[in-house]
Amino acid sequence: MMLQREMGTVVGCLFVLQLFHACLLTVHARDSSEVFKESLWIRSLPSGHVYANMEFVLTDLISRHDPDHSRLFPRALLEILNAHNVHELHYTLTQGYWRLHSWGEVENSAPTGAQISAWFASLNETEADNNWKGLTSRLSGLTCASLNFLDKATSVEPMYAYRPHKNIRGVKAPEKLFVRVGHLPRENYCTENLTPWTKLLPCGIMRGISSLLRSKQVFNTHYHSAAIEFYRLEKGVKLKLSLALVLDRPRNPRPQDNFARTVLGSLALFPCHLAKETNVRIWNVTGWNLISPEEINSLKVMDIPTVDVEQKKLIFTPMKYMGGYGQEYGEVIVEMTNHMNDKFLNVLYVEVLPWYIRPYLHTLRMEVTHGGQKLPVPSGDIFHYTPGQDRKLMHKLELDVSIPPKSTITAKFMVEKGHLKWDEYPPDANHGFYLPAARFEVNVTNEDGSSKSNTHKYYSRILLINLSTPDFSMPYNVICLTCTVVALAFGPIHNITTKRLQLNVVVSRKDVLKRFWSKLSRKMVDDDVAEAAGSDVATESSSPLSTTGEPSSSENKVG
Amino acid sequence: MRASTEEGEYNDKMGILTNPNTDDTNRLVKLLQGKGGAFGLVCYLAGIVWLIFLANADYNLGTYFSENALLPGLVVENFDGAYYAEEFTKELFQLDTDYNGKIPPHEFEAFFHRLGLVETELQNYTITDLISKRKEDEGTGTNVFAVLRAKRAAGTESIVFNAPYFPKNKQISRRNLAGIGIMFALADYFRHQVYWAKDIVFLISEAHLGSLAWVKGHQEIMEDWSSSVFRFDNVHTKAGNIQASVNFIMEATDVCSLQSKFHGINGQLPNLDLVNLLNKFIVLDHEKRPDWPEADVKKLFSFMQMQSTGTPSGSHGFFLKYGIESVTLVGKTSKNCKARNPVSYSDIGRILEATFRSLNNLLERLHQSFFFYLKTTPNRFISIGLYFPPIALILFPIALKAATIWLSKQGLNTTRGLFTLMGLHAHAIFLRWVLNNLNWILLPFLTTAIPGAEIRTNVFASICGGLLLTILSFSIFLHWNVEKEIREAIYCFCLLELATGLYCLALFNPSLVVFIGVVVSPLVTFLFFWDMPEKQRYWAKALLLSIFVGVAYDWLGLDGLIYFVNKYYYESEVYGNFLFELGWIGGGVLILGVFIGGLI
Repeated sequence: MMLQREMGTVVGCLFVLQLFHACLLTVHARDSSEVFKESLWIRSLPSGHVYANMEFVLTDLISRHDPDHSRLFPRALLEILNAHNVHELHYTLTQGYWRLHSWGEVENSAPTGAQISAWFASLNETEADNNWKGLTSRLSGLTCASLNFLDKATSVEPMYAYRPHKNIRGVKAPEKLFVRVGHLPRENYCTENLTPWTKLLPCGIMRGISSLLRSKQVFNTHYHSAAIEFYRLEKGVKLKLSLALVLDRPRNPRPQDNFARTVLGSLALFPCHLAKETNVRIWNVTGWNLISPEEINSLKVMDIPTVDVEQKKLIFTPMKYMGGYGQEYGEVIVEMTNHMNDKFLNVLYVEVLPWYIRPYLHTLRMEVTHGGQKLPVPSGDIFHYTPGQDRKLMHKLELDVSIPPKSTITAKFMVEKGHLKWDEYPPDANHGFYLPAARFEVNVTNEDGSSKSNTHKYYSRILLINLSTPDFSMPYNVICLTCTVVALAFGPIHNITTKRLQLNVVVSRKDVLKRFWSKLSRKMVDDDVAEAAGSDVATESSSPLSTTGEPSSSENKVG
Repeated sequence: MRASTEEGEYNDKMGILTNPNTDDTNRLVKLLQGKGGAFGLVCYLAGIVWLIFLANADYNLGTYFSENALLPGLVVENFDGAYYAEEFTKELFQLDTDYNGKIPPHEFEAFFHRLGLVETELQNYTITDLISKRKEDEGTGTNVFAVLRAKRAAGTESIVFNAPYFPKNKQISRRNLAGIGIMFALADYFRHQVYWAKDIVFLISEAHLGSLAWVKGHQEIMEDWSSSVFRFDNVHTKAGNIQASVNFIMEATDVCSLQSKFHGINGQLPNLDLVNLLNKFIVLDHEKRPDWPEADVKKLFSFMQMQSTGTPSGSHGFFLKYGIESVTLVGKTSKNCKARNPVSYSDIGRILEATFRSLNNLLERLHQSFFFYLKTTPNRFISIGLYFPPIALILFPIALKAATIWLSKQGLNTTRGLFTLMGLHAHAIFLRWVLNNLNWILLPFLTTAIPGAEIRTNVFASICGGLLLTILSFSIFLHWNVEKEIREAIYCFCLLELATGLYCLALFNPSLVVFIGVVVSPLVTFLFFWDMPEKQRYWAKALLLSIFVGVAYDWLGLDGLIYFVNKYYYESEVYGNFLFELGWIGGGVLILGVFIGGLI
């Protein structure tokens, strides 16, 4: 009997499962336009480190992508993007800095900290600002990064930089496309950021290329950068999630050292069946070598060819730093170097400064040096500056320069370091303040100015600068001292101001009858023995201060 | 009713208090005139005695750590590269002899590359002779440095490890080759550690001036190459925000004691936490006991002497201007050091390792502890709260005298007095300019007039000419028959300015003010102003002044004077050591003003 019932339950379960599967299959059939491809690039760096880049690309090339139904697209992200009419989104969270001089050219450049830039449709500026605030707040919840601090006062609207993808979907008449960019240089990358990022992947962290990820190893890298890119194209949508890592390569690898285990710290790659393609490529000095996903499990450290120092072909290197001394003024110096032998570089330089670093634009000077010689400064087409406002708007400078081959352009301008209110300092105020990285959009051009290749993006280092900082232990001391003084002073002053001195007659103990009589009549009967005592007459009857609760009125007798 | 009567009494009292026609002020003036001098003298002496007492361990404070993030002593030092340090040192000695006493910078760079530090750079600097300003007298040097990038950091913060190289030193053992050898061994060790949160810059600066060139090249931008006497390349490999720097000098291959040095330009001091940190590692337990009191006073005196000159006691001094806290660890040698069990290289290495690991722990810049202090022994200090009252007492007679004159003399001619004072100042500034520029104006004439004479003697001659000009112009002032009201006003304002100036200076360099105050305070107040017939007083003062000048001259001597003038001219030009000069010259000008006011 029991067995039969159990059997019935099992059969029922199976039936339900089958039904569910059938439903899934229909969804699958209907929405087969969603494609998921994952790939892994492994390359040695000239410094001897190993560079691993994981890319997860989701595309749906149906022009009317239904936001409520998605098979592979992360719904949590899509809902946010749809709610805010986002047409293009770039989000990066990076720890460390890509060291161009040691590691060579960068593929997906990202500034240290968190950066987010988006193109979205809105009716007007005000709505755009609200939209942006909403987007950053909601993304903040999704990524566990402090993106919610990005609002109108901490973001900028670039005029020439951060141009959208060329096939981005257009908007209808009353709406316009707006762009906003925000950068949080102090944002750290922690496991709490990695976990929600992996949850956006169709296979999660247990399967697919991401199964090679071990958080212990991810956070033991020289550089790691996670990115989310989203495009709403004329035809369909595209989402790209990527993670770049610069890992240590064992100094003297043994022949049996497994790559996945020694370098990535993981067991093996488990296949993800949702992926249409899983590509693993290894750089063998001349080109990318495609291997099958199973091969990565048996890949040895020795199998990854090392790269010579001569192999790093630098195109452009930026350098930004703060010169000067003292806490009043400083000088921001930006050096842009063209490493190409025969090509000009057209660089769009974007500088964003927080309101408390006030640039003196009239002090901006440019200088071109070519091997110790000074060259005339080429004039650019773009010079766009919007001054900031205290606590409301950041300073923004966009300008373009053309750098001759093998030369360096140095741009420098003086800045004034502002004073903050005492509650505007972050925790660990004496640590300093981070300035966002400068962005450089570089086009390789020929002599005639024609450009043929794509725009390369570079970021400078973020800067840590010191502003004048008050001694925060002093307010603490003052508070302690004032509290003590006030506490000590309050009691006596309250007593004196709320009580009246009154003569009270104390009748000798023996005369019981008199005492009884005086108690009844509350009248002065005799001048027997008198002493002054604090009476509660005033406190009880008239003083409004009595409600504040004078604790020890009976103990504070005067006399 | 009662309240109203009280108010009435109150008003009456207020009326009495504020009534200018009362005798109270006169009483105060009489008191000041009668007992002011004695009171001033008591204050002055009390201040000196108090300051001396502060040297005693019973009256000053024990050092402690304010910055908990340093966590000194919590790390277990693992440095085990003493053998490598010795090998590196031997190798450097060999190179030094191979290259005839000057190892070229690319050899140092090769060392760094060998250790796996690839991010290296060379920086050149040139110093022109200040007086001749000729190309032939230029001195050059090259700094070499390597940056060890912290693994997970973005290159925003760093610590500097500086071991200067002194190729010009005649003794090979004093060229700090052992220091550089230990630094190489530590660089090798540091590179394999995983805990670094800040980049580390390993710097081999050529002489102390090289450190100045490096920090200037890293923190500033060289604007104009042609005009300056001190020229340097910009440092291109940036190390972010430098949190602290530790300089390291071995005075011999074998050292018997370790010492920390920390005096900066103009008497600036690093944060006491950093000094304490180094002292904690280098001072042995049995050395922590306070010595006998006289020794403490001597130590305090030598500290104050060092601070008052404003000359940095080593490379660390150049970093302080840029807000980089900096100290120098010096290995000291003594006679028979080798026989007397020298400090082992592994101990020195561990001290440096511990220092760097503690600094690596910092979350904020060093800001918690004192920036203004005097030190006697490594584990005692006198904070600004302790030393300021005695300094205030030493200077108090000046302010008291000014107050006495102001209150007692009715109808001072303030306007004309102030204008005269301004004239005096303008004159002083003009003379300072002349002194600064006379040498190179006169130099061509002097070299043609006295051919073959040494440049510096000529310079001294021109400086003497400038001084003569000063004395002449002041003697015109002295013989100028000014009205009594103006003289008194000048006297009063000079005293006021002197007091204010010295109090302000005491905030920057207390030691300098103590020395100036001890001399100047009696000079301008009670020493010259006792009751005496007019004529006798004049001669007594003249006598005292000449004795004072004579003693000063005797103490310094001619060579000393030349040395001082050259030294301060050089230091103010190259790295801005100006407080010493400002204090003494400013004080001197005001003393002359006092003489003009009170003497004639």
